[in-house]
Amino acid sequence: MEVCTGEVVVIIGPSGSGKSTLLRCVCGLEKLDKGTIYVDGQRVANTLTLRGKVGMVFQDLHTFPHMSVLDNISLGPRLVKKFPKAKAERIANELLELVDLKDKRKAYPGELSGGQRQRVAIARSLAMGPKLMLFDEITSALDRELVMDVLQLMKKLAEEGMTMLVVTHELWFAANVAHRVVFFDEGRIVEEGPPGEIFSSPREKRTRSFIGEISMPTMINPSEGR
Amino acid sequence: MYTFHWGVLLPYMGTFARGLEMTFKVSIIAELFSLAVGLVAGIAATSKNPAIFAISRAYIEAFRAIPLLVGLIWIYYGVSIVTGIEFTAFTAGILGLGLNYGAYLAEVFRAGLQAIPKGQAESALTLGLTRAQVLTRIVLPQAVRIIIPPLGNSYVSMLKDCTLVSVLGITELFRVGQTIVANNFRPFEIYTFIALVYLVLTIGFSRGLRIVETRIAIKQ
Repeated sequence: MEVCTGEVVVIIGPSGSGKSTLLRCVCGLEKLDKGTIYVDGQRVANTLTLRGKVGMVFQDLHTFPHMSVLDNISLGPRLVKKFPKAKAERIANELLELVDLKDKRKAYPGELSGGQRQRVAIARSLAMGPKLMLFDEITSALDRELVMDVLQLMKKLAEEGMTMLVVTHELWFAANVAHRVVFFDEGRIVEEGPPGEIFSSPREKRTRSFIGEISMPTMINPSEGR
Repeated sequence: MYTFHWGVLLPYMGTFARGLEMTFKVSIIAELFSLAVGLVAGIAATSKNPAIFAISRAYIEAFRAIPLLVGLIWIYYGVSIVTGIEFTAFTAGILGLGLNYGAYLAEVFRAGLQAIPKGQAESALTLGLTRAQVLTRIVLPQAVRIIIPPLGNSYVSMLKDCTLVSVLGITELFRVGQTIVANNFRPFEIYTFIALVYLVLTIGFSRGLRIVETRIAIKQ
């Protein structure tokens, strides 16, 4: 499997099909049994050699609760890239603008909503200037009304040309933002193609039944109903 | 009806002060020793290496099972018989208290470290932080906030359990009291006074601890 620069690939599939494991391998958190992964020409060995080149956002809200929003985001540039405090905070402030949380820079994660915390987590990864962003069902733990803010931010990132590998059950995102949808089952790619093709005329029976299960109505853009 | 004569305490105030000094000396050194032992054993108890894990568990289980007084007596009298190594009463007291409390604190450290979700460390790793940075910047600062209250409470217990080293002949506050009683036969005044000293110390320390806890609490 290959992902081109600037491409947005959405991975769908039943739970336990290996979607998360794939992302964890790409960002260096898992040891590979066999095979190799390259990101931007560099072979993925572990998180240390990647130095933030691959950004990862998890389903659970893993902002650092003992640090302010600003410190959460500037931590990577300061500790890993050894940037001086002022430079790291300038990067963080720019990203806070991007994720629309400028007024929360001094707040602590515990004072934020789930959606805001996920946006902080995204900004924190972006601060390392990643070549590739991985999103592992990052809206699954959020209340319904907060999901759209996060999805809109991901859409904005995609439009700015970020290369993204996204595991999600949000079919709106898959249908409207993804360049390619990959259907995973039992650790293998069953089928892949442009979202229109995968959703309207899947070739494989397993793909068809899975898409039927996660129901089409959610493909309607929820923001239109606002 | 017994009539208290508090005046009988006055001539012994200097002696009490020296006893209290010894109580602090023993309790602080033993507490620091138990912190060091507890931290090492606690981190070891989260180890994936089976040998390190087994050693740590064996220590924790053994020293939590042995009553403190038995441990003290055994270290002071027993160890020299078995190994020939003779400890001074002070060293034996520190070892007995420290190893006993270390086993308890190991569990506190272990629980504190394991209470921090794995995703916290993983998020930090994907930013490119080293394992040492993850431990010192992400995991320990959060764990400390969980660990501080039981650590403080352990020192309150330590202050009180220091009375036990009197059986080794260490002249801490309680032992001093016993000696004075043997001289002036005023046990009520002496032991009441000692009890009050402990009351003031432990309540004062607990209050101080509450203030520290509120100071370091994570904003919600």
